[in-house]
Amino acid sequence: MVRNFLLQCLKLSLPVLVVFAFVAWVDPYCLYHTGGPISSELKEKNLYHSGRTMPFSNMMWKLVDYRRNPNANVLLGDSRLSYFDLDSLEQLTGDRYFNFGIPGGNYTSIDHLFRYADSLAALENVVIQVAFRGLHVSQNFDIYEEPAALLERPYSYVYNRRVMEAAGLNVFSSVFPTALNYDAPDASQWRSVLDAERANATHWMIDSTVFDRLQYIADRCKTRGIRLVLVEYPTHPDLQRIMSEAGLTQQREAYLARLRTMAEVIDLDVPGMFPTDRSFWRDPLHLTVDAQRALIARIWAAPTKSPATAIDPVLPGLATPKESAE
Amino acid sequence: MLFNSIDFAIFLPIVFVLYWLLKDQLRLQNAFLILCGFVFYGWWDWRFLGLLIFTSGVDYLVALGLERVAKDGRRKGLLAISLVANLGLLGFFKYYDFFINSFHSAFTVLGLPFGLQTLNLVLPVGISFYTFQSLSYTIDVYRKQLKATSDPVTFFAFVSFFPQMLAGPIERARHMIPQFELKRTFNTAIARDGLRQMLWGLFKKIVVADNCSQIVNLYYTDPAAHSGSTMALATIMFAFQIYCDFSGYSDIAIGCARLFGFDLMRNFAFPYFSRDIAEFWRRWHISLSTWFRDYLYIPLGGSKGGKGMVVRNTMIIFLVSGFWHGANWTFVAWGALNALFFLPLVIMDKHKTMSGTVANGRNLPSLRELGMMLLTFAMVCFAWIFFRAQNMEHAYAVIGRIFSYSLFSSPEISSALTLTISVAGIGIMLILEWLNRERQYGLQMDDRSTRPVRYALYYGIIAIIIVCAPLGGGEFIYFQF
Repeated sequence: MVRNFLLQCLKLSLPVLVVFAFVAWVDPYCLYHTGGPISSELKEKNLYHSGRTMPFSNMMWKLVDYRRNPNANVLLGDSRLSYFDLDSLEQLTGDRYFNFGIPGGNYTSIDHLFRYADSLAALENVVIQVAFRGLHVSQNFDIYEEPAALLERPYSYVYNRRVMEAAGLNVFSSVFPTALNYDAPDASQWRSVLDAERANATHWMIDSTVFDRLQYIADRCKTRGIRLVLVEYPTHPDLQRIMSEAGLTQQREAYLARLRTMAEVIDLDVPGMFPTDRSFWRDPLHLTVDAQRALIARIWAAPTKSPATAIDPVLPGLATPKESAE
Repeated sequence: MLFNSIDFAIFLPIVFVLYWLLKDQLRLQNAFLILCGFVFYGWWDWRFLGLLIFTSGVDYLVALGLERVAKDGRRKGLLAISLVANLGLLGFFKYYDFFINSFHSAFTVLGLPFGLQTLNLVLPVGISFYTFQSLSYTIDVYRKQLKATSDPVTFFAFVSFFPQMLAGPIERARHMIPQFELKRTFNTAIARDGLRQMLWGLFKKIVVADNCSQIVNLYYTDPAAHSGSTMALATIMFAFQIYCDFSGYSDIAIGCARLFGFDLMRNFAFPYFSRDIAEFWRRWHISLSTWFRDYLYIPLGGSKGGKGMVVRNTMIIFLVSGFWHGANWTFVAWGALNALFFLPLVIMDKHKTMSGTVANGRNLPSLRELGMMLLTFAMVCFAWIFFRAQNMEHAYAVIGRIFSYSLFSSPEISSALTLTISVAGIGIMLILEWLNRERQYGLQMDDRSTRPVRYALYYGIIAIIIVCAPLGGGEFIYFQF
């Protein structure tokens, strides 16, 4: 009787076990590194399938990737580093960086990722893409916790709903490669970004944990002899105007002054420094890939291998903007 | 080890197979259950196993002594040893820091020095449950309602029975020990029903309780910062969180025990369908309520001494019950508030009016019944504010917010997805429990349901659990008690 009961249970659980096995086989974030039916390139492309899944997918992928390939040089930041051209950076500096730019990234994720990288490699160069707008209390959420928990308990990977969804997406994109759109900004994105930023700017509330997080990183870098650079990334003049009209200019100056006590700061979010021409921008926060490439040359200006602090008020060398990689 | 963990998902089938392989050797089977109980408990913290063994050992020896001693005075002395050992350890670990803090505050107000320091003790998980269970044994033997068992294996198997050792149901020795003394036979129908009850418990815990907790924790951290409507929503969510968390645990425990051929007592009987507070307390945490009735209320005189005695004893029971939940004045206030709700019914002799199933023989309740259920639910929710609040100031802040004009504003919604899942989960739970309110649990079904229907329901619930499981769900609330 017990045997029959066990067989019944096994039969009942078989479909569930098959689903779990399928997820493990597809392995959308290469956690188990077992190969599987989907190429790494397609999996990586799928990280940018939609804004909803991007934060988790990018975080998960990058945590796994970094654990497998720890690097002494890291970039930390948000989605504005997403399409960062690491090859151009390597050509310029001779150093290969690991890109921890995560869509939805914030100071909380930067803090976690710094500690994560610090625990796996002897860091030499840390470049953090900071953001004044990220001080707002609404930006304090944690996108690190869930992927980190999966890394800690790899068996839970196969029954995590996000991983399951990613496994399904990978198979779907493999079978129907033309049926999916990847991170294509819709027509209303420009407006919705501005609206969201305006709402935050007019109800400005600072997340008090941000400076403690950055201070920890600065202290750690100082103790370990790690070069730390904080880069305030550019935003479109439309957005700069919103911040200015909300009366946040002085607070921004105070914020930069506070950062300068911690590390070298490069402020690229200065009115007039970048063109208003929208063809350089995906939306008011995100430069196009080509525009970013020009930015790389500005930040890591050869031959000193140290980030430049004097920025021309244009993007020289930037020809017709293209969004080829997108 | 948590019921909702992968560890348990591996542990249970292994234990199940090995247990039934030993089906012809009762003593070995019981010894195996002791080992399983120790592994299950030690998974959390093996160091506290010593406490469990110590109190159980004392109770085992005391009961043997009670069996041999005839003189009343010596029997009382033996019982006192058991009470001191069990309640002493419980009091030390659970209440020492609380009393030190309370005395410190009182002495400070009086301007007097107070030398004792808190010890920041870790509360051994399940201590309130297994000490009460073990005590029931010595008290029953003392009252000669139960014969002491001479077999330590039987007794330790009873105390360390893993499905219910951490958070109940708090079993009675006279119900369980005979089950450990008898040969168990496997019954497929009972085991299948047990698995179904476990699945239902997991649904309530993971889908409802864990999602509700995300909302509750967010707003109860700083109640003064949120609107009245938000805090009202959070309080209602907490009502469902604690019910689904604790009754979910009980369902899993009862279902799990059935896999091993044991029958545990019912702990919840759809309490949110109660029509008054007295009925609620007959349906909520039944094993604790009846424990207090049997071992405190009746020894205090019960209802024999007239209304005054009933009021006094009822008040004592509720205050002690509140204090049993935790070393915090909020729990005492929760108990007192429930007593205040309950006592008018007792005084008017109406506390047993509502018995039987609501809307018996009908699909829907009458308007009057619905009104009574909603009123009872509102009163229970009001009391839950004290249960959930971190301290009395927070409780007052929640009440202050709820009874303000901001109650009529739109509630803040931090995560529409979590709220949607919670509300949908509560809806599914309430519908299934309403349809099954004359049975033992919400998913209970007889064999008249066809296999495709049953399997569709199982897979549907499993899929919902996987899709709706939030990150950070985990521990059961009652583990902290």
